[in-house]
Amino acid sequence: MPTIKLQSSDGEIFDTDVQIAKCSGTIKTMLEDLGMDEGDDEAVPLPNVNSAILRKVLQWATYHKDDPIPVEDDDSKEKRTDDISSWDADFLKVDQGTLFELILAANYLDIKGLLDVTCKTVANMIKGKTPEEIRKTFNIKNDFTPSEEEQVRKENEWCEEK
Amino acid sequence: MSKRSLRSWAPTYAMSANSDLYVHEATFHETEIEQYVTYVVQASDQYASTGSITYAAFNLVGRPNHFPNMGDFSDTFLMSRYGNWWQQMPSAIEEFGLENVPENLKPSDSYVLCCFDDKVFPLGLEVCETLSAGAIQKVWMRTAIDAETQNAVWALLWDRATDPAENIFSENSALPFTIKLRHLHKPGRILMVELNYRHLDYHAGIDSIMLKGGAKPPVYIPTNRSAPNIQMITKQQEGRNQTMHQNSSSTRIDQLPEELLYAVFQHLDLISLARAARVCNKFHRVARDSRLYFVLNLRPYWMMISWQFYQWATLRTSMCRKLNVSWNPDSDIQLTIQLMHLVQSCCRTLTHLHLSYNAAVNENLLNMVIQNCTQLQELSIDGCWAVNRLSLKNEQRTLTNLVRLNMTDNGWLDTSTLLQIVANNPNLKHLNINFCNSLVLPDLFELLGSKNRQLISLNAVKAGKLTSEALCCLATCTRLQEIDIGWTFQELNWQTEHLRSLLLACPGIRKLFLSATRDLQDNDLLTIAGTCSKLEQLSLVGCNNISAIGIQYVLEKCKNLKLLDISHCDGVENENVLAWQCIYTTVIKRIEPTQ
Repeated sequence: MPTIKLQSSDGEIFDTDVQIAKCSGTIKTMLEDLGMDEGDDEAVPLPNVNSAILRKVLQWATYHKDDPIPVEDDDSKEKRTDDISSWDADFLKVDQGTLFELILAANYLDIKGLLDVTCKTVANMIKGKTPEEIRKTFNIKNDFTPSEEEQVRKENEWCEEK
Repeated sequence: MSKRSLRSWAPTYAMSANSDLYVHEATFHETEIEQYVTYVVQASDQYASTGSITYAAFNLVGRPNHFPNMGDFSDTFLMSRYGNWWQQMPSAIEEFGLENVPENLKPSDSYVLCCFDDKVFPLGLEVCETLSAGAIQKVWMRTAIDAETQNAVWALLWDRATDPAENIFSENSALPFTIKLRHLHKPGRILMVELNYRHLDYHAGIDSIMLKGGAKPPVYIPTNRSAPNIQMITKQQEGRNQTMHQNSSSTRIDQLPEELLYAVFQHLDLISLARAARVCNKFHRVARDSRLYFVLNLRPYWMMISWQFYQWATLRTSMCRKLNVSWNPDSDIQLTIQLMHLVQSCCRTLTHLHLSYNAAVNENLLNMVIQNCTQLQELSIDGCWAVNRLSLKNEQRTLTNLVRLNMTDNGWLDTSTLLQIVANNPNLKHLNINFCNSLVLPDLFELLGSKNRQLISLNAVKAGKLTSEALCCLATCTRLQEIDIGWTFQELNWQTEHLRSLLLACPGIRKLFLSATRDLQDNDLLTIAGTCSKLEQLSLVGCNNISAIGIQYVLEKCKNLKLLDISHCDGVENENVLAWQCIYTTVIKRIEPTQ
């Protein structure tokens, strides 16, 4: 199996199957544009991903290497949040920091499947919560002025139960 | 807080257990009232045209007429569909914008809105089902307007998905379908009953609905400890269980770039989006991103409809392509005005618009749609019962790109208006005018045959009067796959040759519904058997002049036939049906009244 080397932001080198590395649109383009080939000793630098996150990403990509190639987004495509596989759900039982860094990495590396499933996981953490519960869950500061807050409350109160 | 003016009252809703509207303590009611429906306001599905009595939802009024007898009775309420047969045909469309809708708000297939004489504190419901039981999915009560708050509430009283039923009807026990309703602190006399048909074997028939309730507020039974309501888990508890702890030094959600926050919000339902908008400025900005509302379906949220909700949507739909604002039982001028703003805000980008069974839709709104939504390919305006009359001026610009037009159950629709719309849309492929009872169908068929040769489906059950001669006009629509012209033929003008010329010209016919075509004879069935090799669904309900010989031909020759309805075909013996059911894989429906 041909391999390439990936280098994380903190300098760690990961020997990776080319097929798995190419799950990432970014790496695939780099390899093609730079004419890099298997057997090349030079490592592909990934300055936006640290080793802990890259390890997780590669673990995900290895498990999903045989998935069909996702098609480009369009309106008609179903976007369901309850279709997270049990493997993915287990894989994403991580602390919030790791989850958000996975989203950043999936976006930077252009891995649509991972971006989707991580975003769905965060969406599921928002659903069914009140604004205050969302702030608590994610440690977000309420930066509205009192009058803004009142206006935003009024605008969005149609959905509140009696 | 300033006192709300009467004009601005908006219904709110209650469905989760932590709502204060539900009675949580042990109570009893001093006086119980049992009452039947006195008035049916609207039904979004009935096997009847506007104003007709046969099979109309109006038949729910009063005591049961037939129960415990079972069968297909014309003076009961009958739903127009059953099973997944309608979903298999080209006219079927998958509802857009349901992907993120929470499970407990997934919309039902239809509703019936009914009133009772006396306001009661709800206790129970007894439904006499006379055909294909099990349609009722949810029961809501509109509480009477509260004198203090000037508010009314849609309160969920029962949901088949979560609440038990006392007895589920079985063939052996002719007992009414009986359910206990959630108890409320407020009384009401209007019920919204949501119905589903896809899991049923045949048309659901309902004879009566009885509401049991207390005449006075519930009386508390003192207890030492308050009994927890075990039926329902509160949302907050569910939410808290999911919460993950986080390390304060690590990346936080509000550090994600807005584009990635948008990627997260793409998976949120409308309620979660409205709540997320109240979290902080960044969330507020992203939750208003118009890309989140390219496809917007408000039907699942009908119980929350208010002008404030429409206003909220108006601020987000500037780029909306597909909008569904079907289902709203309230007519109110303020609601109509705001709905007008909503549709206007996206009229240039809309390709799909559904305005069905929305009491706020009036003729001004329809006129505005017809003049401004020029990109529309799909328009559904089923059951716009608040419209009196729609008249288009001769020179008026109308829609021209329609592929799909659904206008079921509009008694006000006159032939000349329909002809004007149809004539302007040469690419029309699917036309549904079921139950529009005042149409001159031969004129329509003549026009379709000359202008709309792309036509694939034509559903016109109980839509006025037809002659067999008019069928010849459709022979130029050679792509037709689906025709429902049940209950449209007058007697004594039927000629087999006319049917033959249509069927010969349209070899792709998959569905042919000829219910209540009394003049149909075995000759016609021979024609069908000889020409419709692709036929999958055939309805011959109430065709009295056909015999087993003709049906035998159809079953033998139409190898793809999956559904055959021969209820009320008096010329066919039950022994024949039993024998066919052993030989053929076709599902044969044969419902006869039982005593």
